[in-house]
Amino acid sequence: MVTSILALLIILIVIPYCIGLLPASFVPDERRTVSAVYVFGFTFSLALFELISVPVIIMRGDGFPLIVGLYLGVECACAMIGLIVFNFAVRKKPADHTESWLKREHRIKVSTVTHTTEEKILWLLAALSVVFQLVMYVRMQSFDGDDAYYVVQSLLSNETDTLYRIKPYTGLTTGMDLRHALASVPVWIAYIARVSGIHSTIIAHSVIGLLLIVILYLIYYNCGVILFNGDSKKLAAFMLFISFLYLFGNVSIYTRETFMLTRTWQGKSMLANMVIATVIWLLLSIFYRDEERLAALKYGEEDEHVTLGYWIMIFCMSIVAAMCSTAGVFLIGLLIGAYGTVLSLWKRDIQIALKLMITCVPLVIYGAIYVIM
Amino acid sequence: MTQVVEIYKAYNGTGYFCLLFIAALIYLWFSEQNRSLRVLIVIVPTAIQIFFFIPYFYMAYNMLDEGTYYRILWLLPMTLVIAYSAVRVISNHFRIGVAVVCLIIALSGTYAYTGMTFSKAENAYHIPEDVVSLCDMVRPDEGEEKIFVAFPPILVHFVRQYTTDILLPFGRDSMVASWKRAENPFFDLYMSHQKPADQLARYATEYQCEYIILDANDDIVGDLTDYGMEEYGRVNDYIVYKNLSSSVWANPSENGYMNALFKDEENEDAD
Repeated sequence: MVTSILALLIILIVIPYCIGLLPASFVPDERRTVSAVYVFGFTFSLALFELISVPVIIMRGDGFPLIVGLYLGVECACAMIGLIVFNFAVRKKPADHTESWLKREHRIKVSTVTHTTEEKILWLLAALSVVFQLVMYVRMQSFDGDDAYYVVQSLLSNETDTLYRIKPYTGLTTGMDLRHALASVPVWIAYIARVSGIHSTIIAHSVIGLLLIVILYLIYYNCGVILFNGDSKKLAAFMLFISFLYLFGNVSIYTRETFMLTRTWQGKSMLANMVIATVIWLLLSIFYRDEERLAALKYGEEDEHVTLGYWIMIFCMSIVAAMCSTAGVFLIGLLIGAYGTVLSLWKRDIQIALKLMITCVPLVIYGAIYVIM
Repeated sequence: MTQVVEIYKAYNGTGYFCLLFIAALIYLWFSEQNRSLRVLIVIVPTAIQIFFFIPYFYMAYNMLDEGTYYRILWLLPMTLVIAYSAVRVISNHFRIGVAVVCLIIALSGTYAYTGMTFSKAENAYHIPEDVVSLCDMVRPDEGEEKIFVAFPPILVHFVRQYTTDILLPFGRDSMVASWKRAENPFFDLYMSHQKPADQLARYATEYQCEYIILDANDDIVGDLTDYGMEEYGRVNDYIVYKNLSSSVWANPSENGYMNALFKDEENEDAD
């Protein structure tokens, strides 16, 4: 049990955090929060998994051990690269020695604002609401017929080393199911099960959702940091409202909120919640401008807005969207297309549309693979 | 257009979150001064919302993925926009405002953890404990060949989530009426009100089932023990019968029904 928990902590927390330092090296210092670094790393590592797993799934029906070995190796290498790049790109910059050690040594933004009692109560309520959802995820079960496919697919990969060559419903052999094979979330869950030694179904139903729910709220938190420009009280209220909207969002079987709480572990839910929210957050990060701050700039001063890290992550999110669901290929394409069109017209800058089109290249490639095969 | 409106109403379901979202958008249209935010969380979502109702857009989407048009609504940042505008609205009356907004959200929505959607987890797998016990009773030992076992249809979703060592003569794909599936008289028999024992035993052998599991309340016509079945064990309301006539080494090609199971089916898999 201890070994399993340790393995989970390493592959789901430590390694993704280190990987996240790589894109985080290319975002503004004030936006480089611990949560932002972790979300970068988690989604980057999901993109890596998709890139490694899909060719193996297509070419080798028994290639699951190969995916596990390759992915672990690549993840560890990327984690090392993240640490090295961060050290040279960020830490080596001249530091303000009045900053705290954490800020100075790691250039990771840590809040040092003193909170009022009212703020603390709001944060406590927001946190309790999220913790409640985490507890309910473990203690309650919901029935979804699609688990007979997706969860069984994870278990098949882990127990038999096969990849989409066995019918999950009956156990008989079949040809490769390409539509689902391109969306490798079940294989990712099988990977976590293999490395941790925990049953795949337990990973899906009792473990991974804890992380996915927390990550979703971290994404909204980072959106709120931008929207409320550091106003902690408003941010706390924002987070409380977000959690309430999820708690009471079960108005139909179609809403993203319902998917989040009843099908947390499925790719479709990850697409509807984590992926779309992350894309919106990244677009906010790139294009939001604090007009008051801009107005205060002195003549000749430029608004230095580092965005390379965010562009890298939008590119990664295209890959993650394909990993979550084949529907993600055109849904995220639509989303990026809509934003690209409007933002280009607003800024009268065709480069915005071109950059966003480049981020959609993985979607085009996955779509082409599906059509051709 | 009617279909699109129906999809929108189905998405909104028993709540009013879509209305809250539209109200929030209208509020931000008039109050949001920051130009970049207007584009990012007001103009683009409004454009997507309008496009959703355009029939040609609906027809084009259906060519890509029929039956899932509601997912376009996932692209709308409803949660973020509602929460953001709510914070803006209550900024001058924060304490009472937080309480009022939480109340409005609770009244406009449906609590997620109702008995209709959730039940208390019986184990870490989040599958019925009966399934775990039944599988443990019949599963082959480690290293042995996988076996076919017939479960009551109500349980088939869960069996292979616990172990893939048990093969099923019919699974979830038989349960979904709209999916094309091969003829499966064993499944049809399990779904019928009365189950003749001789037919149960016959299909159990033809589908190479080592065991069949029945609900103790099933109306079995005749006695299964007269047809080569032996009561093997019980788990709560379920009776496990061992099929003394089965052979896992039977050549599938001699059996028409097993051929149908082995044949690739064109069906609408999990969506």
